[in-house]
Amino acid sequence: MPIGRIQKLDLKLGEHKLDIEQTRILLTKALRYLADGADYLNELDRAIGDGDHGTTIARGAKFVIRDLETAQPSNVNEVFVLVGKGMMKSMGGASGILYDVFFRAAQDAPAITQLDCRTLTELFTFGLRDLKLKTKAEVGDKTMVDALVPALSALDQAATDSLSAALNVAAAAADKGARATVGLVPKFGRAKTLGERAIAAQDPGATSIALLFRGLAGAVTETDY
Amino acid sequence: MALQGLLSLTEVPLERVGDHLGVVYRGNVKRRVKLVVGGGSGHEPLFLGVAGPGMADGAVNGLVFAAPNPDSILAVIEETGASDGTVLVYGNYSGDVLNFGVAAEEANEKGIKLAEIRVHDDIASAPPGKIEDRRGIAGDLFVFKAVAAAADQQLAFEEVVRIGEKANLHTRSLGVASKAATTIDTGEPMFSLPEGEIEVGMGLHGEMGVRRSGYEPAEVLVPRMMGMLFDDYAASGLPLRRVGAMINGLGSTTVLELLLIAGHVKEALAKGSIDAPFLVAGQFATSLNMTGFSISLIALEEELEPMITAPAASFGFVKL
Repeated sequence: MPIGRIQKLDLKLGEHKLDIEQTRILLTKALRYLADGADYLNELDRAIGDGDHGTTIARGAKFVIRDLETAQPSNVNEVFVLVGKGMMKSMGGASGILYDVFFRAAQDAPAITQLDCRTLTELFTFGLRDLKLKTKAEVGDKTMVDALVPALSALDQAATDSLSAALNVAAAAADKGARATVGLVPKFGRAKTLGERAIAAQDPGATSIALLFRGLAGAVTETDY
Repeated sequence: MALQGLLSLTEVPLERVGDHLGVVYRGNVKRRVKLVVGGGSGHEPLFLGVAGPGMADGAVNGLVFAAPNPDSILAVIEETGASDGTVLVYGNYSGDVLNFGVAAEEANEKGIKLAEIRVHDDIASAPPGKIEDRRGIAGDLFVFKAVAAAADQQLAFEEVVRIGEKANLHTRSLGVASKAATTIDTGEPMFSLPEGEIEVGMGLHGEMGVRRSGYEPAEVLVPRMMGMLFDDYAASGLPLRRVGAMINGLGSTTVLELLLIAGHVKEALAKGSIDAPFLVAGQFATSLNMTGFSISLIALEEELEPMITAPAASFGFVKL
């Protein structure tokens, strides 16, 4: 995992809640962290795909960061939708549309103006639902879902109001899920064709999700990531 | 700038669609059904280079080895303005399936009649029993060609789709590479292949093939590949009496080598008492600068032969 420093958000609303503007900053910071992982993701993708997952993710993340600078979202959901649309437009490929599906699902969730542990879980749960509907992927198929499912159940079960504590637990779970893709036979994507030859590789898609959650956690935590 | 270059070429006038990596050719005026094709960049002359008379009406590219996004696909579909439906043809890859699928949903919501055909010609990518899991490689061209010719005959939408699907089911390809493509970001090879070894069953994206074997001269390798293709047809219960054949360079293979391979292909067909009223060699579906080639066949039963041999012109594919 790449290590970077993320400047912690100034949590105006206290430790547990972010307003729309802070949500925008939260996602900007998380995406910047994700973009910084480009080389690492490319390296993973060379073993199993065409070696460009990191480059693609970084292109998407940077596009969205620019987009968010000028955006004037009227609720938290819109921030998430902007992330999805921007990634779809700028990334293309499978990962662009999958990130889009995941983030854009926020438009179907009840509109919120404050992001806390519960509402974040809700937005992401809509995202995971749509992603599974679209792809039919399940845990064990060596995809993004392998990191998302444990991350969301950790978020869901985090018996805490602290966004920081919950996101840290979720990031650890996502990381564990991504690492557990080593040893799995891929069921989707170009890697699927490799079958057994891809067993030893860690899935780049699951890993980028893990980086995203580390970025989210880092943005609300007083520590280095 | 490569798109600018394509638009500057004089033989087949193409128009860019908005600021998308998409083009339309407006000259197939008699068609009621339009053909839109697409996929990632890095496979030139696919996909933008196969719009033209007797070929596609619209084509859309993504970035290198990445499917185009739904916005671009939808824009090209709308720009072709079919009066009786659009047939979307693309290779069977997760990224393409997802992006074209979303574009198709959005087109449906707008009341555009549309069908999708996912080309699945690569026999190395899944066994005959799972033909729909196979990925699409150079055999794309046969399916494009069949759909385009059916549209030119002004057949009804359902007929054009049926012929396109039949062409897809009758097409088989197999590729080999002796040197991986270079990752354009880093200049590194996309996978490492020891000197003297070849990768069998290459995809079109620099990803590894399905297995490795020692180097073999063309006179041994080509008949072996043809045998694998013949066996695959046999396993699907498709008789091979007449075929269309395409010898395709993956980017860095010389024309001399492609012609040599074509000679061996023709010989293998003759040994199997198979006629080839259509046989071409060239660079049709590349993988950046990969060194290698693929062989594609289409079993030409009665209905398909006139579709494959109908005239066509485009930057990437010409049939006199």
